[in-house]
Amino acid sequence: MAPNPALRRKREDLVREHMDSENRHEFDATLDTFEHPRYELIATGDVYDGTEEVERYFEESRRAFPDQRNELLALHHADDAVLVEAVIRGTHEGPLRNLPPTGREYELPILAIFIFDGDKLICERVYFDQATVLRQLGIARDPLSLTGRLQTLVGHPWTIGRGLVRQLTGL
Amino acid sequence: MATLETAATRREELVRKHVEAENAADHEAALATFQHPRYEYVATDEVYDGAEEVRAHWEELNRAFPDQEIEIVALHNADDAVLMEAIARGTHAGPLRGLPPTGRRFEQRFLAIFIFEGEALVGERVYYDTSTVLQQLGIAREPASLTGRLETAASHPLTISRGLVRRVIGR
Repeated sequence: MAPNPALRRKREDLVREHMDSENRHEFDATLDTFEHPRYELIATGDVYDGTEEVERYFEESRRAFPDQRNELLALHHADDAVLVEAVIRGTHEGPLRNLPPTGREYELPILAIFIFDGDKLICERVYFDQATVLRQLGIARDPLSLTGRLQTLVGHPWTIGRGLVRQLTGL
Repeated sequence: MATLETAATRREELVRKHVEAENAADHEAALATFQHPRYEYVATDEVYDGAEEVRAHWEELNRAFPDQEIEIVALHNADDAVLMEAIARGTHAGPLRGLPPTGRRFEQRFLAIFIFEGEALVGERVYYDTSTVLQQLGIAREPASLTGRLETAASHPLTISRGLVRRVIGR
């Protein structure tokens, strides 16, 4: 069943407050938008479940990117979810999982699925491309560029060598 | 309300037909599901617009991954779009943009937005993680792993050492 207008408005207000409070760095307010706090990051397979883990996730991302903010581009209402296209921006000024701060800025398009149980937010599932961030932080190369191709060859000689043999012999 | 439900059902059916045709590598049937064929890949900024470009794109994919298959995980019906969570699987058995066939399999969860004008499909926008695929093909490493960190330090020494200096001096 498609959500009625009142339910839509309630969900949309909650999603907008969720994203705005992140921009204001009021993470307690962000946490309050959840009935059950939970993040699922599809690219990395990371799941943060419950208040404690989600607070740790907020702290980690705030340490790495103290100025991180989001911009909402489009919002889609579905039966049991609100799906948001957005851009996240930030400057890498603190350690990110053992990667020292590079001082570089990144800009990342994401798709976030805010999953609802009725009018209660129970999960945010995020689709994004890790390589887009790593390239902008200067620690990965576009695999199609010349330097990217050279790095692939130097860093993965066996994989590429076996592939060339496979291509030549047709096996 | 009844008409809305019916339109949503028809859009969902078209999306399922589209995916089935892609899985059967029946490009003409897949093309026929579009009123205007168009693909947008958010991660790489690639756009394939019009029948000719979309056909060439599918041919390139089928050459690289002849057994590629898409499994639908969830469909979200929105007002002017159907958003699909899905898993793509395939074996890298043919050349891919200068990369010889590695013979490896990939499995990738992604999100596709099927964009509609009324009941006509006019585009598909795909959010996926290029890093997951490159890691599974064996030509990139997980940046948080030990070998990934060594590779990052070896191939981006200036970025990493500037970062370490920044962390030590706190700037």
